[in-house]
Amino acid sequence: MTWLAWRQQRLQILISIGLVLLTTAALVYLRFDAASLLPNQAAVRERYQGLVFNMPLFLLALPVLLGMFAGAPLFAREIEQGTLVFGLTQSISRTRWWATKLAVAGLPVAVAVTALGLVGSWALEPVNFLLSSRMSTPLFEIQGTTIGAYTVLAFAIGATAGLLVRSTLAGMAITLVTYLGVLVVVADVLRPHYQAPLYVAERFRPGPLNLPSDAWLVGHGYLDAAGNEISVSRINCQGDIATCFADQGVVQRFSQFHPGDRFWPFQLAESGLVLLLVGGLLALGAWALRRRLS
Amino acid sequence: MIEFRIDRRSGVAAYLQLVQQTRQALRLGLLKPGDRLPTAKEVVAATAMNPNTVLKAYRELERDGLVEARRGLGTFVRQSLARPEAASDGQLRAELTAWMDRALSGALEHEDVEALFKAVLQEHDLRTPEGT
Amino acid sequence: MTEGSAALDAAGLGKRYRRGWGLRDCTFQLPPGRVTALIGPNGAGKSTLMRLASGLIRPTSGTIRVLGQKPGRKGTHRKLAFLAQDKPLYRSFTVQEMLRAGAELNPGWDHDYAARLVAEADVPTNARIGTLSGGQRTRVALAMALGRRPALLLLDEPLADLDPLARKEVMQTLMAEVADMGMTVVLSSHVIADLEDVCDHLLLLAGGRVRLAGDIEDLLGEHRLMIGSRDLELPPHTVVEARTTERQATVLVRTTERVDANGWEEHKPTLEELALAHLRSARKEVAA
Repeated sequence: MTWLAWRQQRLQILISIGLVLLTTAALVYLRFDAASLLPNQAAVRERYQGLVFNMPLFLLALPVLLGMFAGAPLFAREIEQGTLVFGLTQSISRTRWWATKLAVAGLPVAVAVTALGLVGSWALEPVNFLLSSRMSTPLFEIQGTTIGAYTVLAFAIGATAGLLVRSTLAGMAITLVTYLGVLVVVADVLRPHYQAPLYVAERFRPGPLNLPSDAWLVGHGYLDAAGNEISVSRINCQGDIATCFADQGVVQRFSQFHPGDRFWPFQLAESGLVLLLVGGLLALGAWALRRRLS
Repeated sequence: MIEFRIDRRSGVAAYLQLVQQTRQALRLGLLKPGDRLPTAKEVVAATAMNPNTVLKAYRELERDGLVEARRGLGTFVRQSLARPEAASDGQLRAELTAWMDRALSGALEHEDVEALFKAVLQEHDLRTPEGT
Repeated sequence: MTEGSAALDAAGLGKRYRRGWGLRDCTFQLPPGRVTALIGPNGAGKSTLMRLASGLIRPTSGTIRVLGQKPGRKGTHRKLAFLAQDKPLYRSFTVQEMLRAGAELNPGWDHDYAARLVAEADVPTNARIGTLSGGQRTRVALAMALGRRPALLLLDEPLADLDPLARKEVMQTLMAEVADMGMTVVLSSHVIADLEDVCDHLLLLAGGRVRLAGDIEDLLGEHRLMIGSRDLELPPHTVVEARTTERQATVLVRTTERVDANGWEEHKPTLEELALAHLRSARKEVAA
């Protein structure tokens, strides 16, 4: 069965891995080239500013692209072409047929993208000073272990959607929409709460917050003399901001943030969370396979 | 070896056609005692008919004592139906040929001859009901 | 027939789809070693029955037993092969690769046999499935089914897109296998003439129900086709169907004895006449 699954999916698998390897190679080149320019940060900025701005978007799209083209057709195309009936009327259980196809098509890509993510974290070190905190979207999702987890997620969405809606095209559309939805919810709603953020309050003064450069700011505001948070409007301020804010009762300002050394614990937490979601999707697929198919 | 042919439009059951064709071959001396009949698989591979039909025909022939099945070897002819008179050099056949020549050279068409022959045969059967 | 010896055994079998019952209350047994014609108009439930037997779908009610076993989740019964109507094969595979797939999916795969069937059909083994003609494709699909060495073979409209020569060749292959291995075959078709020589057992479906089932010779022997003037009184037997033109009446009656009714001409019906009369009468029942 492994050979059969490989023979059926080899084109998608090879193209996916090729794409991932090319990206990895480009990142490795970036690392060495940028490192050779340092400590001249201006030179690094001049050469890589544009690339470093666009690259995260490409890397953010990579998992969903792989999920759409490797995951959605995995079962949907067999249903469309009628070969599902062939596969399910042989001397092999449904579950094994399904699991083998998933493993053969999904595992190589998952491993390749995870490797890409780990290499990426290392490769981006010399240019990190050009970027905002690597714990915020999109930088968090494109490196470390999360990019691999998100690829598996997109693949599982594609495969299960294709199985449920029995159409490759609809499966791809569902993959895209669902993946983006999960990305937004996880980044905005869940990630700030993996751990309680650090809290710092200081006497109010105008100017930027005094935070480490790799910290991820998740909240900030103003306190009155009693230590209660108050909302402040900047719109009616004329002249000195400090005086204007003081007039509104501001005494202190506070910030909530996650320090940069939480990057790896957060990576693992988010990867685990995403894989939990993958488990749920696969269970749904297994249920559909037993109950609803054909 | 005998080759069977099935005429689907004849209205005669396929197994009966096989029986009749075998009997015909036995009568004409095309099959002799000791000859092997084609196996069901051979018949089927040539005609695409159902092997159960072939087996049914062979069972019928066996019941009539015309053939016998030898385990693992095949089905063999036991008894001939050939009459010396029916052979191509027989006396009766020569007489019928001469009669046929006369009939067809006269006013009768092919179909008239056939009808006449059958009618006379039927009359004969009616007079001696048990004879075949 | 004793319990469990049937190749296919249905009891109160029913399958309900969202749009209604595809098969309802079907009880029948198909004896082993026989070639069954599964006849019925489109939508009669022929494919549903085959899908139930191969375990692709589950019955809504009743049971179906394949060679004594209910279809389970461990795949199709090892001794059952099912060839669907569209002859599904992996289009991008070569014939050789398709045969290898058969070996991967079936522990009891007979590679030499499957390869021989393909060779006999003159299909080049390095040709891609997608480039084969309809006839070649059917031959490969049949080799894939027979390579499992089934004791029960279900073929859904196997001859639908074949030319006469290919039809005959496919049937020759099949019947040789029946002769050789004593395999049980079920062939579905809505063209009765295709099946007349090949089948010895009949299962007639209409509207998802069994209308007629049994040995074809027996069934033909139990029916008489009566032709006479339409003014004549109908013979006192179970009438399956009576049709009249301006002057003439054609009546199919079910009886084991000669009818011997005055003025009626009596015939033994052909399989086609028998099947069509039952199907027409089934349709009238539904309409009524």
